[in-house]
Amino acid sequence: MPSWRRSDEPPGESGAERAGFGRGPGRRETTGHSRDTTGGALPDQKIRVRLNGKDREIPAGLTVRELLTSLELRPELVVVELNREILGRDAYADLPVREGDTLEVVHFVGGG
Amino acid sequence: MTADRRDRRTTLEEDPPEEVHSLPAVPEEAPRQPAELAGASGASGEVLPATVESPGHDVTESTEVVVEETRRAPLTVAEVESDPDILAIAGQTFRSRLILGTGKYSGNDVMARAIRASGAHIVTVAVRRVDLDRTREEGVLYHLDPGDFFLLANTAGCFTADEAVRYARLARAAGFNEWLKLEVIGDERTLLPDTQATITAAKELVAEGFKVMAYTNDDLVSALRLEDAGCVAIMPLASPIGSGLGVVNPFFIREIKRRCDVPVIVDAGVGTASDACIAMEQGMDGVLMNTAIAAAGDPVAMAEAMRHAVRAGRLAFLAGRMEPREIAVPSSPTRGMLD
Repeated sequence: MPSWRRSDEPPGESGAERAGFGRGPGRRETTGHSRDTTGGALPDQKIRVRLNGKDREIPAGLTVRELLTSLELRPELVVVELNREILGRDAYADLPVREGDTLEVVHFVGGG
Repeated sequence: MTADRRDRRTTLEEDPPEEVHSLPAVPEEAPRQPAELAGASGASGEVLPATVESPGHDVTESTEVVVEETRRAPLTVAEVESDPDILAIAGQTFRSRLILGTGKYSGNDVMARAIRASGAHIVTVAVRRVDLDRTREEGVLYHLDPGDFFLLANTAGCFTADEAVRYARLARAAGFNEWLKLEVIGDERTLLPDTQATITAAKELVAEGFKVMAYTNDDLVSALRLEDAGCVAIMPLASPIGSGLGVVNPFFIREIKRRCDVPVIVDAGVGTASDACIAMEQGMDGVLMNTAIAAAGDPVAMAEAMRHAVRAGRLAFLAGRMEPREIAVPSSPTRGMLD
């Protein structure tokens, strides 16, 4: 596993999993689905990912950081979980978002 | 855990003040050793905590009076014990015994003003998905400077230990601190805690280095199990979250306080100022509230009331209340009456 990814073990079935999200093909790196390994993507090429519980089409070839800025989010104020792994912030600029990835982007909100 | 701790203080008498808030002699991660402070008494403005994000002061053993040019200069043990407002948890000190939640406010501006009026230092925040359909959403952190407040992430909304652990890890990844208010709810209608799941989650999170403050009910045994699991504070509810019913079981939260070595902070169910005062009169180390202020007619005014209530309750506790009795005892002399 690359050193810049936090190696959180999946904690097992959670309420969130029971609710049905997180079961996309990108959930575990070692499942057999094919990954796009081409370095340069065509500008209008789209990929499908699951983002905060919804399936979306996004441009291919974005890094996590580029995806966040395209969503008008400040990377320093959010936390990103990619395929059930929590990312360190210094990894955002390097990590590509790939077809079938499941992302959760969370932040702090008011709460008791 | 020794038999000593289980059996001590089983009488109904209140504890003498000097026992109630005893502190560890030396914190685990003191940025300043006593030797450093010894040379700093003449220097002003140089004594600062290691990280700006954790404004809680670290307690030291130094008896030097440190010149406090900044409000973040470390405090001595003597100062901590003499100031009724200072709350110490896991070797870290906080300016106020009142902890506020940040939810349910009608707007961020009133939230920020209420929190300031309350004098709170620790504020809780929850972890949720960013709403991607609302661009330029102003998050709670725009209004709460992490330099002024200690952000305590919670696992609100979690119903299993696994969920709570997942949310805790996400909260820690936000990078503010290693502290966590652990909540694992067992029932949707009452929002009462699932104490079994809370204990399971606590053990896992303590092992991962979190400083866990655990929301629980008024059951003594659960409180002791959570302390055994390594929680740095126990947080029994006064009554259900958002109910405003006040302290419904003072007897058992008193017993929890008598039997736990870590701080005991009432969390949930406070409705008005007297509830907070009553909680503190039981000897609690602090009170956490959210709805009592957020849902008040004038949250800023209620926040100020709560500030006074928590202080008043703490002072009354430290003063040692009179014994209640069921017969009258005159307050004025019985001799010297006229014929």
